Amino acid sequence: MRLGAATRPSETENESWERFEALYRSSRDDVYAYVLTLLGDRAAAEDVTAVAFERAYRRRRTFDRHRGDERGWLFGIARNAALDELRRRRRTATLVVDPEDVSEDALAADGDEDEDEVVRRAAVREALAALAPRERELIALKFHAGLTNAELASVLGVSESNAGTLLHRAVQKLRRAVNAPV
Amino acid sequence: MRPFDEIPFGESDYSDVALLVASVREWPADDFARDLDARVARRFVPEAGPVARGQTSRPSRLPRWAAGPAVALVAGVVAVVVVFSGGGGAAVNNAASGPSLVDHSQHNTKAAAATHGTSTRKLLPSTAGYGALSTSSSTSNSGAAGVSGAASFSAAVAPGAKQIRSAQLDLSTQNVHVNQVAQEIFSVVGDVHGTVLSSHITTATQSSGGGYASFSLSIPTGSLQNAMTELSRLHYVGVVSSDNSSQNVSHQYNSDQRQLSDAEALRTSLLKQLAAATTEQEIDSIKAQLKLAEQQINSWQSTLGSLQHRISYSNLSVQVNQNGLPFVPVRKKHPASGFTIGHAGHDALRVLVVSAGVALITLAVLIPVGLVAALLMWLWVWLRQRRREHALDVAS
Repeated sequence: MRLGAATRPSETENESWERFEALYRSSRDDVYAYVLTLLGDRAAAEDVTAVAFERAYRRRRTFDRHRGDERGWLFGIARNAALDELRRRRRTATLVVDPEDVSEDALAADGDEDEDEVVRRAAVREALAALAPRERELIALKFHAGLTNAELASVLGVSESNAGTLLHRAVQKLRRAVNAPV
Repeated sequence: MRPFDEIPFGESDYSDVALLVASVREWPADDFARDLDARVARRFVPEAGPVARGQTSRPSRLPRWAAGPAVALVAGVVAVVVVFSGGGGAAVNNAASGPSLVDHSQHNTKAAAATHGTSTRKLLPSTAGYGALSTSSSTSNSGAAGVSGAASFSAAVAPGAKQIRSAQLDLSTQNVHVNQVAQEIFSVVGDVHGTVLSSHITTATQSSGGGYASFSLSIPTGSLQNAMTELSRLHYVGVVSSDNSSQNVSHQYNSDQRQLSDAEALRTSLLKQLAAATTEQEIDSIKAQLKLAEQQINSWQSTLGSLQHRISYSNLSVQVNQNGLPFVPVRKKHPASGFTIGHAGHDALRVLVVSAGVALITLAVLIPVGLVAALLMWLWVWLRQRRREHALDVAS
């Protein structure tokens, strides 16, 4: 079934729009978090998030439910948009201004919280930063987007078992990094 | 905890990590969220004014769905151009090589309407066992021009050479003038002291065609050129084409003459021997030889006389309206010629056959082009995805 599948044209358009809007409302923050994990830059993440939703809207009629869940499809689009942004950054080679450091902003925002909690969050951020980009992406897709292993496999273009294995390794690595003595 | 276990855990086994990651999760800024909500509510229709950040505004760009058909269309056009340019070239080559396949003695009806004809020389096997040089000259005219091609023909012959000449002249005239033209031809033949070997004249009163005349003439070779010129200048006549050919028989003529001389010398010798013969048996033997010699002399004289006649008199074939102004048969209108089931069925079948042919040709072009386009599209998508993955690999 497609996003726009229905019996009458008017119903098709309305239903298509409603389904997209529901998808948007349930996924906006998750897409942003995922894209930010990939890019590490708030401004770029906002741009890419907007582009991803616009692309998804334009292509909503091409969605095929038989090929996976809507969220998996949406995160596939977001992933391609984010990777395009990474490619564009490589082509532009030099940056006038370095991307803002998300962890520093987050630390500033954590100023009024419990010191132990702040330290723990800093350790988590450090552990995430130490992961390879693909491992960070897996963590984001799993825990920010809440995708199942099957949806992970669909987004990454690997088998489901392979996706599970890769995720497990990334999680283990993250656990070790977080629990490592300072 | 099973740190080295490669088997994926169940979803609940990641709860601790989920809490850790959730604690550092980033949320979109309120301004951005509001802006994006508004754009979604507008269904991404761009606002008038400056383009918002992250808003893709590329109206002039070709839609992605149209890329494949566009590539296929361009490839198709290129293929069609290549196919048709190749075919056209072949056609030109065929047309250019066509005349070379035509026998030189034949009329080249597609020759230019110039007064110069084509002239070729080739060695033909002689029926008498001798090589004979044959020359042919053809002129094709669409108007009433003369036969100047024949004039240049005679210049190619060595003086004193023995040659058998023949010619053919195709004339055209209006249907009602065929009889008059035929009488003029007889007159010209008489003027040049030629003879009409055979003639066939068909007159027709209908202007639609059918008038036709053909003549087989024997013209003194010396007057052949003059006769052709006169014939081409007849009233109401246009020269369609003229053809001259000659065969050099000097070698054959000399050989025959030598054989005759030898036979005559043998007879002279035998006559002397006969005069000197003394016995009855000797006389009988010589007389028998004389008889054979006489037969040989008669034979050679006949052969030589025939050859001399063929040299002295040329065959000229004259055709008036050779291809004829075609009869237009009067077709009686069939009462049921307007529409019959058979005609309709035939027409329908014909339409189907033509349509199937066109479809087949179209498919023959489109299928390979489509396959190539699909391959290129797949290659492009694969390369793009590889570059994207590479960008992720090199990202810090």
